Formats: sequence, structure tokens, C-alpha cells
Amino acid sequence: MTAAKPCDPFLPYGGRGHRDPRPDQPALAVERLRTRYAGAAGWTLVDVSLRIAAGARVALVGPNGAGKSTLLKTIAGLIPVAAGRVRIYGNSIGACHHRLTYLPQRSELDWQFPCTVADLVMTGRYVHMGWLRWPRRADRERVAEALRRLEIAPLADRRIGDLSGGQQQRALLARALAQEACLFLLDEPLNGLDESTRDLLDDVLSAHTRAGGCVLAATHDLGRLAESFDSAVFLRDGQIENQFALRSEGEFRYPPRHFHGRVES
Amino acid sequence: MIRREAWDRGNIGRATAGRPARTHRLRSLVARTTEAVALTAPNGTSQRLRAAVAAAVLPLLLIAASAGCVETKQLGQVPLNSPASADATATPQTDRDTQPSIRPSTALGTQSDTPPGPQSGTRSGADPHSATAHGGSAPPSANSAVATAANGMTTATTGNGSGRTGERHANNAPGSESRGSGSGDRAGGSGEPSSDSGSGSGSGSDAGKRNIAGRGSRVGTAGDGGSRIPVVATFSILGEWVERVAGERARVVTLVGPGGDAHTYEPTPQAAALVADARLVFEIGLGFEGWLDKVYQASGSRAMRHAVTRAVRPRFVGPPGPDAELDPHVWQSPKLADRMVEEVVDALAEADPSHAVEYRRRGDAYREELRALDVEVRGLLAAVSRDRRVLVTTHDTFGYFAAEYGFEVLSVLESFSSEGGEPSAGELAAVIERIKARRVPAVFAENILDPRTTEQVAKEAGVAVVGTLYTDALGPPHSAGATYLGMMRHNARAIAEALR
Amino acid sequence: MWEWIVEPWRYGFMRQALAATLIVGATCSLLGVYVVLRRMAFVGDAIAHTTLPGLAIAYLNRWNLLAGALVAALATALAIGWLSRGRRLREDAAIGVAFSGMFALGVALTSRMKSQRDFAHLLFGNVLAVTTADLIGLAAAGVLTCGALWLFNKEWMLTTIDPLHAQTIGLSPEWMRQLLLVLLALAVVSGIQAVGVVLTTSLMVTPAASAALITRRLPWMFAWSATFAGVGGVVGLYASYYLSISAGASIVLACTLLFGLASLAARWRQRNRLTAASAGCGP
Repeated sequence: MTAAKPCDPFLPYGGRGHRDPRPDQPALAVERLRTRYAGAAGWTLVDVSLRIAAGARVALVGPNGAGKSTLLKTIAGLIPVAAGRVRIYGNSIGACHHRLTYLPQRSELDWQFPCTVADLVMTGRYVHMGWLRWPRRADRERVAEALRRLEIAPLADRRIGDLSGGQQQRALLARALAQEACLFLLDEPLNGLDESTRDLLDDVLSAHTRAGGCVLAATHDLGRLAESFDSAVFLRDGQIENQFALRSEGEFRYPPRHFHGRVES
Repeated sequence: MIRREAWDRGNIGRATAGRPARTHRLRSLVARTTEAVALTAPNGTSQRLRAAVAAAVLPLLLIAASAGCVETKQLGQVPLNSPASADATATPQTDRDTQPSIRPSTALGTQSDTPPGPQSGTRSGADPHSATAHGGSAPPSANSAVATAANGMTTATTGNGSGRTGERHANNAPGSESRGSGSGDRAGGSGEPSSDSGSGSGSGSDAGKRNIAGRGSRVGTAGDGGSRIPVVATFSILGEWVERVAGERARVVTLVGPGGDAHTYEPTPQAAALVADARLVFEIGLGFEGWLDKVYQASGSRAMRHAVTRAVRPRFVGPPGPDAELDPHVWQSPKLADRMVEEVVDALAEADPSHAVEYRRRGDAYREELRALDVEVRGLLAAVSRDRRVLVTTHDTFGYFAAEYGFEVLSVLESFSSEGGEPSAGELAAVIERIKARRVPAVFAENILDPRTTEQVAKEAGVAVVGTLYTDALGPPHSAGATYLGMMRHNARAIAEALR
Repeated sequence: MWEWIVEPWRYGFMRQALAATLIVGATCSLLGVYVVLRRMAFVGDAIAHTTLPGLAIAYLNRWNLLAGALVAALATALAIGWLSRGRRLREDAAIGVAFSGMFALGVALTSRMKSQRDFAHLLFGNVLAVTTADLIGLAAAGVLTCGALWLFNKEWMLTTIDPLHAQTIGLSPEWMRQLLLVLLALAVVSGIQAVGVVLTTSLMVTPAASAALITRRLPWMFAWSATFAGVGGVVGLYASYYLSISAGASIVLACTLLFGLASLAARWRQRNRLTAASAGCGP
């Protein structure tokens, strides 16, 4: 149960835009990235460079307005890249949608929508379905498994509007698991959650990274930084001020090791 | 739509004016635009939308006006007799039919300056027609007496209609006889009044106007009656009557033109301007032109309003009662048309006594045609047997016609006055049942209304829809319904054909 | 009693009206579910009103009126979508601009029209005057709308709940919104046939809003919404027949009545649940 399935960047699917990962590339490579919001005068991100290896859990910390969310959204393809380069498993943004998942802050979702938790988690499977396909049995099994993993299986038929904040966050993470994404981008995932939920999320995320996945999470919670993350990137005014390793045990080093997945060459 | 060619022609010459005149014009223009914008907006439009439109229009207008490029053509109706325009009349540069110099300019000249506030005289002018409407008979028009006085006219006598009528009849009988035979020939011959162009009376009278316009400058300098009274008629049929009576003595403008529906007309700024500048406003009354009071008040007009149905005993739509609506479709009876044309003659003669004889002569000639029309229609309908005399039309327009010629009316839309006019399923079913029960052979579509509902009823009842009847408006030029006489003849023929 | 029930349907125009009401009701109410869920009720209203210039132009040029309305509605839908793309201009502002501009154009054109009563008929619609050809058009619009809803329900659901996630997996919320707006235009134009411009919005919003009150599952919401519209249509036609109320108004009134019943039911159920919960907690 606790042993997450190994994350496979070669996950076969019939959807659009699949491209094989480049074996010699890190999970995420950001080079001299600049972005700005439409109509805004200044840059929101200035020359941000970042490399994250598969299997790493990286915290993105910094004051409000530092550009944490912007960086995540840019990597997720929600904000256009003005300059620089972003590579996800060696491919450009949007080349392979299923490999990346973005968990927005909970307030960005319409929780009043009349659908169940299972429906919400099922949306994680959509990327594998594409147009004009309906969930199959395998999809439902994945969803059920993800719900179990996050211990919200009894809530499967609950309307999403009736969930507590912690349950909502669990549902979102379950969706990410159901999507079988490798690179998780999380925006304030632990905000306002109770202790047990945090522990569970930590557990799930560490299992994910152990299986070869990769996590980049914006967080305010500096107290848990050391136990939840391998390294931290400190962002201020759109620039990386500092990056440091939090844990030296394990094989994690900085600059991170390259991903050496099961390349079937 | 407004037929305004005639007035436009009249106005072009007056655009040249000095600075004081311009400011004067500007002021009245601004006042009038605000009014007019408020007026034009359909009832459904929100107050905010109206305000926005007014706010948008005004600055544009001001800019244009201050640049001195407001040709009267644009928004038209600069006060007809501002001092400046009177000057312009005197100058020889205007070779068109210019400002009527003999008109008592005080009345209309001041009108544009005074804010269109509560004018006791004119406001009560709106009432008598409703008073007429409810009273049923013809009360003496105190209002028009007041209005006349305000206009500074010498003819303050406004007797009541019936008393005068006989008198006039006696006076003018011989003249009308001599004219009458000629027009009778015309009517009998082609069914269209012969004119130079031979294209119906609409263009005929236009040609007449053009002639006058060409001669205008000469006559104007001569100082005799080359000026033409500005007259407004509310809708096409009434407009034609007035034109026929006034001839070249008046510039007749019709607010709701051929094919337009006067029931639901939404007045435009031009309409307000026209009413403001008119000396006489002819209306049917009986609640037909529900919008006219608003226009009249908003335009600050001092024109005399004449409800031509004053002498007509009104019918009710449906059973009579305290809430019964009056039936304004009086023109469907040529006999009543005769009475109303007489009313027009009286009004014109009163407003312009120096040409009274002329009006009477023309009026009598036209009335002769109307009497001939009555005979002709009666003859055409004689072919329809008594039990088949049932008219199914879209709305209740044939009340007077039916009363005159012994028909029964079944209308699809029970109430003509409600704008939403959508019948209920129950009403439709009832009409269908009655059509079936009466074995009505045909139903009629009208020129002013959407035929879809009528078609549906006809299909359901298994009867034919007979081509368009001209009911509440004249048809377009060159059509059978281009004139009142033509329209009535067309209807009578179509009805006779369908029901025979 | 049986006689009473059957009597209206002896008439062909009533049967056609029923068919039109059911088709239009289904189309509008099913689409209305997303209109309500996406808080777009105002968009439907705006599109309904902006068909005015299209109707006016078509009328003045003697074109097919429905085609005119459809073109105007589509133009508005696309304009709203285009103006509010990328959140540069909020959707409500875009709607306000497009709505008032098009409506003013329509008013201007109408004032150039000879017979305005004629035109009022279009604005108010008349389901009793629907012809067979109209029915075919309505059915086509209905099939198109419902088919699209069925095929793209998954995508609309996702873009409504979580547009960001949709975008990260390559599903453009913008395009889905445009598609919805286009369908909305289609449904509005078909609604104009039945109940007219003024009442179309209510046919779109009221049944879906009623459904939202009594169910919390999307499939059920679709089912209830269509049911409410259908029942409202039938009740409305009966009312129009026996009470002599204009058909469009009585259909909308019936739908509104159903909304009232639904909200009562929702309240009643909530109270029951509360008492049940307190009873459950007690011992």
C-alpha cells in the first residue's frame, strides 16, 4: 500500500504530444528564465536558472510576491516564457503534458461544481484519454488506488464542495497520482492543513520521489522544510537568491544527479 | 418613416445665418436633441442607456454646431422662424421655397426659446382627443381655442364640428360639383388619380410640391401666399387626405409613412422636430396615436392639434363598457373618411383663412371621390352573400368597415393595442373553432403585420390566406394601396374575391 | 378529465408548439446547466439581446430572420470571447461592451423600420406560429448542442472546475469557452423562436438553477434541468390554452413556478437532514 509504483517517464498513452524523455537530461532544467505578466512593466522572473534531478524534492521558498507561483505556472505552461529555456525531461513545455502536473492553490478551483471526489480525481486521467474518450476500467482502478493512497476512498462519492480543506488537498494530490505524472508542481500544498494530513502528504510525496518522481513545491512552512524536502530554492524579487541542500544523507547532491531511469535504449 | 423631402428642400436655404442666430439655433438644438433622444428610446430601454445615448449625441452635436457645419439637413429642423432665418428669407440667395414670410412668426418663433415646460394651452390640447374618445360625441375643443389664442391667430372661433359642417356644405356645394365631376372621372377611370407622371397620387403631389418649390422665391418676394403651412399628419392615410385638401398650400409631412404601423410607432428626433415646427398637427385620435402626446409635449410645439374623428361616433373594440377600448380604425369606412376630410378642410381653412376657398374647393372634390368610393365598394361587396360576410384578420381593424357593409369580424389578435400582441393558445384555438363553425372561406393578411400567426390559423382551419390587405397604412408608391382610394378598392376587391 | 388533457393537442399548431417547446427547452436547459455552473447567465441574456441587430438587418434586407439572428449571436459570442481572452478584460466588462453596443445598433436599426409591431413579434417570439421548417431548424440546433454537450462534457467539466489543470494538460480553457459561447448563441437563437428574445434567458437559466437546487451530481443536474424545462413547457402550453395567457410568458412562468417548488423542496430536505443529523448525534 505504501509502496508507490515506480514512476515511469515512458508511460505509454495514446494522447497527444508524447515525446520520449531524453535520458541524459534532468527532470527539470530552467535556464535564464524571464517572464512577465501581460501589461506589467517589469519582469516577474529574472534570469532564473534551476536544475532538478529526478527523485528530488525541492522547496521553493521566499516572501510573497517573490515569483514562486509565477515560476511554477511558467513551468506548467500557464504563463508564456519571455526569455530563456525550460526543459522538462529534456523536452520543451507542453511537449508531453501527462508527465507534469500542477496543483494550484485550492482557491483557484471551483469547488461548488456539482461533482464527486471520484470525478475530480478522474480528471487526472483525462490527459491519457484525450478527446472523445470516456473513462475505462483501468482509469477507474487508477482513481480508486489514488483515493486509497490518500485515505479518502470513503469520500469518493462525496461532493467536492463538502470537503474540508485538508480533504480537498488530498483529492488534488490523488488526482496528481491518478495522472501518473512524474514532475509535481505544487503551490502551497501544506497551507492550513492539519498535522495528520501534512504527514500523509509528506509520506506520499516522498514515496513519489523515491519511485523516481520529482517534486517542486512552493511553501511558506519553513518549520517542516528540512524533513519534507531535499533542498530549497530561495526566491526573492524574481531572482534566485540562494539554493541549498537540506539533507546530505541519501544520494542527493547538489547539483543534482541526472536522471538515469530505465532507458530502453 | 418620415417623408421629409419637402421640408428638407425648404430648409436648405435657411442654413446661412449670422452668429447670434447660430447661438440661438444651438440652444434650441441642444434642448431639442435631449428631448428627442429621450423620446426616441423604446420603452424597454433602460434609463441608463438613454442617458448614455444622449450624453454621446450631445457633444458631437455641439462640436459640429460650433464648427458651423450643422447643415439643417443633418438634424434638420432648426426653428423655422428664428430671426436669422427670416433675414435669410429676405436675401435673394435663397432660390428655393424659403421661410414662410407671412406666417405669424411670433407664435412659432418664440416656441423654440421657451423651454418645453408645462404649457397650459397646448397641454390641454392633448386632452380633448381623449375626451373625445371617451365621450364618444364631439365636445367643443376648448383646447384648440386656447392653442389658437396662443398662436396669435385672428381666427379664434372654433365652433364645434357638426354645426359648421352643414354650413360649409351649403356654402361649397356648387364649387364641389364642378370640381367633383372631374375627379370622379379620374377615380372611375384607372383607379389612380392621374398626374403628370401618372404614378399615383403620392408622386403626383410630390410633383406638385416641386413645382411650388421652384416658384417659391418669386411668390415669396411678391409677399402673397407663396409660403406653405407646415403641417404634420400622424400616418400615411391621414397624410394623404391632408395633402389632397391642402394641395400646394401646405407642406404635409407624414410621421408614420406607408407600410408603417402607427400603433407601435416609436417617435424619432426628426418626428419631434417636425411636430415642433408644424402649425397644424392632424391625428386620428381615439387612442390611435398613443405616442403623439409625448412627442407633442417634448417638442414644445405650439401647433394646433386636430383630432379628425371629433365628429365621428366611435365604436368600441369588443363589448362596450367602462374599460372598453375605442376603435380608431375609422378610415375603413369611406363615409367616415368623408366626414374626416371635412374636418381637415375646416381646420386648414381656420388656420389659413386667406385660402379657405381653395381648401373647400379641393376638399369638396376629394369628398366627392370618397362618396363615389363608397358606392363602388358597396357594389364590389354586393357579390358576397350575407352569410359569408365574415372577416378574419390579424387585428381588429375592420370594425367600421364591417358596420358599414354588414360584415362580422373575427380577429386573430384580440387586442390591437398591446405591443406584445402575442395571442394565447386558447385564443388561437377559439378563433380556429369559430372559423370552422362559420365555414369562413378565407382569412386575410395585413400589410402592417407579421403574417405568421395568421398563416398558422389558416393552415389549422384549412382555409386560404388571402394576399395582403392594406389596413392601417398605405402601401408603397406604385402599389395598389398607394392611395387611400386605391387601398380601399383593393381591399374590397380582395374581400369580394375571397368570400364570394 | 381525459378530454381536458387531450383537447389542446387536437390542434396541429399546439402539437407543433409542444414539439418546439420540448426541443428548445431541452436545448436551452441542458446548455443552461453549464451557463449556471459557470456563472454565465448574463452572457445568455446579452447574446439574446444582441440578436436584435441581426434580426433587424435580416428583416430590412428580407433575409432569413433566424440566420440573421444566428450570425449576430455568433458574432457577439466570439466578440465576448475575444475581448475577454487572457483575462486582459474581465468577462463581464466584455459582455457589457458587446451587449450595449450591439443592442444600441439594434435599436438604431429598428427605428429605421416601418412596422415595429411586426418586429415586436420577433422580440417576443411566438411558439404558436412555429412551422415545420422551423421545427427542423430547431431540431438541428438541438442535436448539435446536445451532441456537443455529450461529447465535450468531460472537457467542460474540467475547464470549469480547474482551468489551470486543464491548461497544463494541453486543454485550452479559452477554446472550450468559445465553443460553449457558440453553442450558447445557437441555443439562444432557437430559444428566440419559442419564447422570444426577452424570455430566452429564463428558459436557459431557470430550469438549470432549479436543478442545481435539488441535486448535487452533474448527470442528475442535466436530467433534472431537462425535466423541469419539459414539464414547464407542457404546463405552460396548457396554461396558455385554458387560461388564455400568451404562450411564451406562460411557459416561462411555469418554469419559474417549478423553480419555486424546487427551492421549497431543497429547503425541506435540508431541514430534514438537519433534524436527522441532530437526532443521530443525540444518543
